[in-house]
Amino acid sequence: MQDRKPNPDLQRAETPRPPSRASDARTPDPAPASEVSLPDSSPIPLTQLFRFQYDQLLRFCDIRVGNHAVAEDLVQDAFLATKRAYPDKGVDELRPLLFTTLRNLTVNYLKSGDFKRQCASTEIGDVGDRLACQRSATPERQVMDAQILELAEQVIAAMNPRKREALRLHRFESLTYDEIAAHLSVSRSTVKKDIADAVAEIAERLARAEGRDLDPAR
Amino acid sequence: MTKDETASRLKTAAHWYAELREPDADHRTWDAFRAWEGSDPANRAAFRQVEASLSLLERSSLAAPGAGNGYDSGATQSAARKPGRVRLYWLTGIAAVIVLALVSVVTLSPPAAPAAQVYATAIGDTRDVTLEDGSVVTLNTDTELAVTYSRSERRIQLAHGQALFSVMKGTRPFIVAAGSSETRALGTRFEVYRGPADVSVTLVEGSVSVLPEAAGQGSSGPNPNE
Repeated sequence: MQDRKPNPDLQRAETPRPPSRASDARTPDPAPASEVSLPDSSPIPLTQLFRFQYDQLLRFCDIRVGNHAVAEDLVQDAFLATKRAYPDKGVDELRPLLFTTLRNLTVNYLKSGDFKRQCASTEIGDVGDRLACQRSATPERQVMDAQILELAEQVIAAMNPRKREALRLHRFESLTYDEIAAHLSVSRSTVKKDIADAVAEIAERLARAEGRDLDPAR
Repeated sequence: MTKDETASRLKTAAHWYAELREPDADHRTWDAFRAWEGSDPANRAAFRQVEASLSLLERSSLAAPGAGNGYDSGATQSAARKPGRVRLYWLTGIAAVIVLALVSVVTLSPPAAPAAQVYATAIGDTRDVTLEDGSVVTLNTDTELAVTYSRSERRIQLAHGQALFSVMKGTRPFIVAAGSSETRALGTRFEVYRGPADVSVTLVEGSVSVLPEAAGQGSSGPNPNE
């Protein structure tokens, strides 16, 4: 097109804010450049970290929030936040900051109501996904799944009630160790141990049932 | 591998899970976990088993809403136990006497050092705090400081990070200690940054005196905009 001279709008966006207030009021402010994610313009150390630490950060996040899609979003957010806050730090400094930022995001997420809503929607939406993608569910497989679930139920039923409640509050009410400790009137370290023991009990029972003694070769 | 070995490995794996769920887990936690996991393929397998158990849990009865009726905490249990009631009254009486005794000891003893109020920001956060004398502290990202106001001084201990102080004029000196330095002011605006290696003080208006803690006397500080 002919009227495409050097674009005056672009230039104005890049030059420092014009002193005249009147012109400011008329032209709506362009979105601040920092809000737009531009992977190309990311500082090099962060790009490196993104490439080499992404899997680890995602796994760390996944373990903490227990939901892969949410974990992916949070890792993305952590990179953007770190990029904004620390544009000129080196790799060595950025890695701890990235972990800390991500961890804070997971804490906020678990505290927020999003967690429960997410759980409710996975309950409905995920059943089909699970059967479809995790494994094509042959009848044998389905029976085996049901048997494994039955075993887990037995372990849960036989579990020390305090451990069971600590595990439930941890996984399904998303309470922190401190909150659970207050709720169950026990110490924080007891809560942490209870939860770990409860998970280990189930894992042991399943490992025994699968006749697997954790030999990675098999 | 024996059954016991498997069991104890799974226990360790489950404890790593609990550790990684700590609200303050960071890259150090993660690196330690990875070192454990990487040291033996069986550790890796054990952790995978733990993760599989957790995802199985999602489909268990424990995940169902209203599943949590199986446990009464100790407090409700003891209240329900009837024979214990009478003894409970006794214990309450004894406890009250002990508390009274403690309170009188506390009030009779000389006033202890005033309690410090701690303020902190997480990475990426900032926070304005108005102190009891009207001075305002702005905490920048990842900053922690403790405020102790006593009769003779207003003291801030900057543990780490960066903070801007707008000090209300007053008779008690306003002292910011960071690392081995102390900055004193009466009414002014200044900023203190405690980095990993050094401390920098930036004066916005007024005047302050900065001295290393070890040195005895304060020299008068820089003028604003210096």
